[in-house]
Amino acid sequence: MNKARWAVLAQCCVATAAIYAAAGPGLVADLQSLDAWILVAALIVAAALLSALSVWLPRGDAVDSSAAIAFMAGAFLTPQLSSLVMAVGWLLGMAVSRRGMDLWRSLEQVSRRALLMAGAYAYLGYAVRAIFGGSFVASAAGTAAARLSTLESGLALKTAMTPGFGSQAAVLTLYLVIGLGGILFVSLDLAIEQLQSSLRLSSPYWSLLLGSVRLRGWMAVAEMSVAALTVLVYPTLGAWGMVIATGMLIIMRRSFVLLRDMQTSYELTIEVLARSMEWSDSARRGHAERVANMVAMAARRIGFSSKRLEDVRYAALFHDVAHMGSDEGSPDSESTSSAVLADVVLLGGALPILRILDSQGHVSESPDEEDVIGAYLVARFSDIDDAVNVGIAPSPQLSNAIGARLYASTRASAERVIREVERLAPGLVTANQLSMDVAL
Amino acid sequence: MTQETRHDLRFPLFAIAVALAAAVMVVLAVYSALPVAFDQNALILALLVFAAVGSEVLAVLYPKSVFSVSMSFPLGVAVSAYFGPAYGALVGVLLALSVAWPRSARKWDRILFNIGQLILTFTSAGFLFQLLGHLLMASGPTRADGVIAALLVAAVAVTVGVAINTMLVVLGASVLYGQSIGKTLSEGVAAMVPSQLTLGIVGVLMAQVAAAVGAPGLALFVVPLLVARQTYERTVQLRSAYADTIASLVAALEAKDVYTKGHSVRVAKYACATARHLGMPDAKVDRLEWAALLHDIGKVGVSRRVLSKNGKLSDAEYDEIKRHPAIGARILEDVPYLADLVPSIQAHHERLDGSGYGSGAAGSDIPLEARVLAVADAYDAMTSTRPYRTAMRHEAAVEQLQGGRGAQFDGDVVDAFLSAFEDSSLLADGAPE
Repeated sequence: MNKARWAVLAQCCVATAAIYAAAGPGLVADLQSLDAWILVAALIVAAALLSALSVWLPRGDAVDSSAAIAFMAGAFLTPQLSSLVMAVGWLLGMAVSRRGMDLWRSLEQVSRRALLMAGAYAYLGYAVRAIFGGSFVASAAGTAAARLSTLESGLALKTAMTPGFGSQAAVLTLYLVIGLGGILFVSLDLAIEQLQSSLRLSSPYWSLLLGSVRLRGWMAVAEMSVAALTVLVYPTLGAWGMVIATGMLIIMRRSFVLLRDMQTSYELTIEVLARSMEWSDSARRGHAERVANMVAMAARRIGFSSKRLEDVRYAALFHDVAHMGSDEGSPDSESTSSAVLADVVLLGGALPILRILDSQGHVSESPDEEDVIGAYLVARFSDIDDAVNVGIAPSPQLSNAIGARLYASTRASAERVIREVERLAPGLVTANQLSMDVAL
Repeated sequence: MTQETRHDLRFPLFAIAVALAAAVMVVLAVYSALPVAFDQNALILALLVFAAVGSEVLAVLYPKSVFSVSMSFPLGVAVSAYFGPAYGALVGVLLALSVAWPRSARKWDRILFNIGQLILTFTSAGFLFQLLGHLLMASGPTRADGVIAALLVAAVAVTVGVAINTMLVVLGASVLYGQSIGKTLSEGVAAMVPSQLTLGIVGVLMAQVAAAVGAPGLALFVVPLLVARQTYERTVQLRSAYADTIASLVAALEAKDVYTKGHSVRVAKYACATARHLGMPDAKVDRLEWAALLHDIGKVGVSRRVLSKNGKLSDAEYDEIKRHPAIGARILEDVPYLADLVPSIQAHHERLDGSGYGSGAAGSDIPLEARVLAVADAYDAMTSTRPYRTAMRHEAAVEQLQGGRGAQFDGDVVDAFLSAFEDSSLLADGAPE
């Protein structure tokens, strides 16, 4: 069993323990009124809808808005009931979308939600009780055993927000507690999810987490705002507020999907055009794509952010663009790859890497270290692909020159890069190569 | 949408008519205004108005269009729902001025039109809230039927507001740019209505939150609205840059061959001008531009020796050339966003009489886009120098196009192509080197 599966098992155990420790009134006690049943049904439908509309990223994790629904569930229901609601909603969503359900993925998703429920319960229960004291809970729920996260005390939020209840400062504090809770909740959700991705992909955790925050951070904050709004308007709109909130979440999800689809199409178009440029050269057909894939794998393990990964991948796809297309395969002395792509605004991030390659590593300005690493990876994997797949003798002068530059600037980085290259192409590049680079 | 404006009295008169109707609504709104307790509500009004003006200044324009998306619409609806139509009119005036302010050269008739249409939009929504007896649910649990009634009122008021806004903008654009109302309406509805309806409902929710929990609750709307705007703006930017990227990369491919250098860009220019003369909607013209840029991508699968042969092609060589539409189609099928271009690229060498090559289609089975591409492609090929002949003059190429009407080319497309030449500077701009 691999590390990722052990982590899922561990997550399940922790989630079960957390839910058990957070045990409040039983399920039956929660579902004694029609309002409670309507609320539970609305939460399940909302969770199912948003799970069905989730976006699956190429690396395997799903982007959905169910954290917002989970937060609402955590605010209104006991941890056990809210975990059950989210699990049922998620499974229903998967069934509706007819997506294949893998046991480990299901366990991972359900236990993550359960863990979050326990977290939400602990936070809301203890934070609000610490601020408002026992009387708040007692007046709301009527029994000493009741806790804030039970349905009864969720309904007590109504009382808290009706005019005449408590002071304005108390109500503002409550908003703050709910808003802060939302941020903590979504942060925990992202952190756990990326831990799983990191184990599954063998990629550095912080790099994945930062990339995920950059990609989805603001969207997540927006979704938690909607969740907090729904909690706040529950006293007046009841479960209908959840209909509006779910609508808003679906629209936000759709706009994210639209943008994501456009980005994916754009990347695919670039790849198709890059592939087309090699079509007439049968010997090197597929070379750029193979180099790009190897470079992306190495750069991900080195810890490049998602944006920098994209840049280095584009640089790899177009590293030979100035030399492609002629039957002789001879380089066009009047053009360089960076010059050919100079007008393509969205490929701007790849240009510094291409300039390093075009100048044989001798750019006049001080290049960014990641650009030099990217250029080195492109040059080295191009040599390797030439030797292994194209069947021509590599001419390593370019990769040696850039490697020497990299080694001269940061020895530690250079050694790490070499290790990654060697890991992906064992036997073809050795650490001795680096000594040769320096000597050159 | 073409941005060339008419220079006659029609739009100024239309703007004055809209402004007069708006003035009547303002008088009615002020006359029927309900008293508002400002001790608690001044902060809410100030926040909503400030945010609305800020959003309008940061509105995202649709590329090549007069339509834009701004987050000010829900804020205006929130003011109309919470404070009534008179304050909705106030927001309308401020929004129109905030659009005009950064562009001091704005003409008076456009400012007047914007003021009028925004007043009519927000006051009509506000009146409906008021007339239908809507009360925001400020306190206490509400019965389910009360919530449903309130949501229905909100939906009706927002729908009417959006309908008035869309109709006025479409009519205004139609009068100003001299385009048919049907075409402008279909573009306007597609561009504006879904987002406006959604944002309008969000506006009602804002008013509800403001009524229920006061001004602090409005803060929770800031991030979702900002994110929606940013996402939309990035999508628009990416879409614009997409075509530029394709043009640059295709140019890089063509640059290897002095004879085809710039060919696709010129074909795109001719095809788009022709399509506009045929009355194609802007969305289709955009797709046609992409198809034109990529119509010869399949030539990457044809030997350069054959493409640049200086003399008559053998049958085998001609067969190789004839594979390029199919190769192009196969390349683009892998990209879902470009898949709709495949039929026109595959058929751009078809002839009306069925004697062409590519998809095996004839007559009206050939997509209109492919028929436009065929004319644009043929004209550019004839007026460019090739290894086996020098470039034809414009007049000689036109004669060839006229000679091919009905058999090779669609006569309507040839007429539209020639009209496009007469009406614009295509010849001067687009002539091949």
